[in-house]
Amino acid sequence: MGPAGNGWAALYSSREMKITLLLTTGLLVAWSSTQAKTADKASGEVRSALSRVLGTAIAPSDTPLTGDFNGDGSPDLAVPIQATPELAQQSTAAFSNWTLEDPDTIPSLDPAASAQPLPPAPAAVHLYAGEPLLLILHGYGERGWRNPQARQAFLLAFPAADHPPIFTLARRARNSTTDTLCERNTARCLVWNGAYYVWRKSR
Amino acid sequence: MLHKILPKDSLNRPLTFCVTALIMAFTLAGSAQSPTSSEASSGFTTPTGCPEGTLPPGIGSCTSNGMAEPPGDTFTADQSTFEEQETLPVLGPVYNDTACVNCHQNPVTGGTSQIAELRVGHNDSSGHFVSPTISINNDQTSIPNRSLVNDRAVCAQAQERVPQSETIRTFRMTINTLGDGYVEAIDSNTLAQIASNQARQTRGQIAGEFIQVPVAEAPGQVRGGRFGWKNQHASLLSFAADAYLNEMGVSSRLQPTDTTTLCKSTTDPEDGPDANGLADIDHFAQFMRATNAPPRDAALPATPDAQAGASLFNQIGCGICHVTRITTAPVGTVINGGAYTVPAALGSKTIHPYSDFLLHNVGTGDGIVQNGPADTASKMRTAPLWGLRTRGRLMHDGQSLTRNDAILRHAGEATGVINNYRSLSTTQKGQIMTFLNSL
Repeated sequence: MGPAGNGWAALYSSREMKITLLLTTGLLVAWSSTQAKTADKASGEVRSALSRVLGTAIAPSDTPLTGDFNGDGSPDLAVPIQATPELAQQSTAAFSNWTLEDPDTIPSLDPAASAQPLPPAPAAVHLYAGEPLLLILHGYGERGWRNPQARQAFLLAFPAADHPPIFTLARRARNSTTDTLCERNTARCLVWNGAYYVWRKSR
Repeated sequence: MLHKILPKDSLNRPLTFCVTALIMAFTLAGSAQSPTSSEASSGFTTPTGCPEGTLPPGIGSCTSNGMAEPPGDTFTADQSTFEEQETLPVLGPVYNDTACVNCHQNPVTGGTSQIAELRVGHNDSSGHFVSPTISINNDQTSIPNRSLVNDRAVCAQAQERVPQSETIRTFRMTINTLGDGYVEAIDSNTLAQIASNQARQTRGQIAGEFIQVPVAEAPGQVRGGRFGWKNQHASLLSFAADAYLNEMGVSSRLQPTDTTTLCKSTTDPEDGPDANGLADIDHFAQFMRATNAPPRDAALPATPDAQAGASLFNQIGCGICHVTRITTAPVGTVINGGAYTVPAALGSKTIHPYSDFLLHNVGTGDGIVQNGPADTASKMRTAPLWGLRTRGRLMHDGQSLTRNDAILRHAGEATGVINNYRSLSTTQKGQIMTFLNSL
């Protein structure tokens, strides 16, 4: 402790306490930025992130969720959106800046099978305007999805679904470093397989 | 001139170390061409079966890079051994395939293929990778501490299956071995310099990890790893012995114990010397060392689009890791812990591998640790892009099916570079694709 003083002001002015407060604040910021949670769908940050990634103005259609979905230690963003005509047109371009996938068409390794399937055959996914999508934006660095450098995005389409899936955040398993998006009222969750988001049964 | 930072080719002291911690007093990396170096020979010149007579158009004749053979040996004999089908009783008991060529075959013997192997494991409570122990024979026998899960066995009891507990599961695509003699002949200092330059050039955003791994034929010696998706091997002889045991189930003097004794009737080591004193693993290594480097396409490189794409490739930063040009160590350099001397055919040669042969975290790490430290779980070796046009399934697990998907899959250290790519016009991206398809 520094020189003795009178009251909180003196205490706060001590160098050590400033360092302690700064460290505590930093830890709280770091903690809050890596915790899985929901985000305000009207948030300017969310809209800005969508615009940065998709190159077109688009609004969330439901509550965004944040968490570390790919386990790299950086907070990611999951936002339900509806495809706009511009987005549908982009999806037909030769080299889009995001990856369009249908999780239903991507197999997972079956741990019970001795002979494993080969990686998936090419499955073209076609977008149409108004189609419900889930955009997952991978974060970069400590700022995660808020980082202007964060632009790796996956657009998940669910053409086989009767209704647009609604996602919730699963409780993070003990010793796990990854957050999981699970479909409400079903037993399946989206997990990152290193290349795509695929369905896996929840435990 | 290269400033030597490691004595001779590599160190014996630390098993692994991170190059970013090294003193950064280097001149340019080995990407510079030495005044005395010459271009390495290239060509797809190992057609499978090395047929006599007329070959289809586009297939080169059966030739090596000119490397001298041991007494009594020939390049043809080495290739034949590489293509030899193993059978019982030496095959297995657990294995993935019956010959080197069955996986390393596209478009010629020694190349790549669509075939993948399976690796699994799990993390302990501290988050450290643990290789599994896999029970076979109705839990009467186990295969401990091995991330590789063989897809075949010579008897049903020996078949490996992935335990539910092993939550890390990944495929590893077959990698090309053509031109690997040149890669083996790269001085470890050159790789270390490339890593150091990357960190300096990008202010630490890109920093390849250089690891040193044991050289099986030089007990107690280590060298800069460069072979395998995790850089788990530094010498082609070590790599050959590892693959012979783990992919075909054949033990040798460098890997003298089979994976299991279940359904096994032979005595280890199974691979013995022939009349010339050479075992199969010697022929495998000799074959890989004598192959030509993968050649560029005959027509595309000269097109304006491919040339513009090549410039863009370097301008946006791809070439920081996919290094365009490396020069091998001079003839006579002793490498592999003293077990091998760079021959005339491989020394002071300029190659264009489009790789730095370093480990990077580009967001695709498969969670597996092999010969490297714990942090290599999230890293993979930069895939050499020479011969890329012969591959349809991309990245370490083959999950990326288009060039664009593979590029967009890069994250982590590659984030800045890939964002540069995203900023290109469709025309410019197309030029990069043309360039990639010329490799």
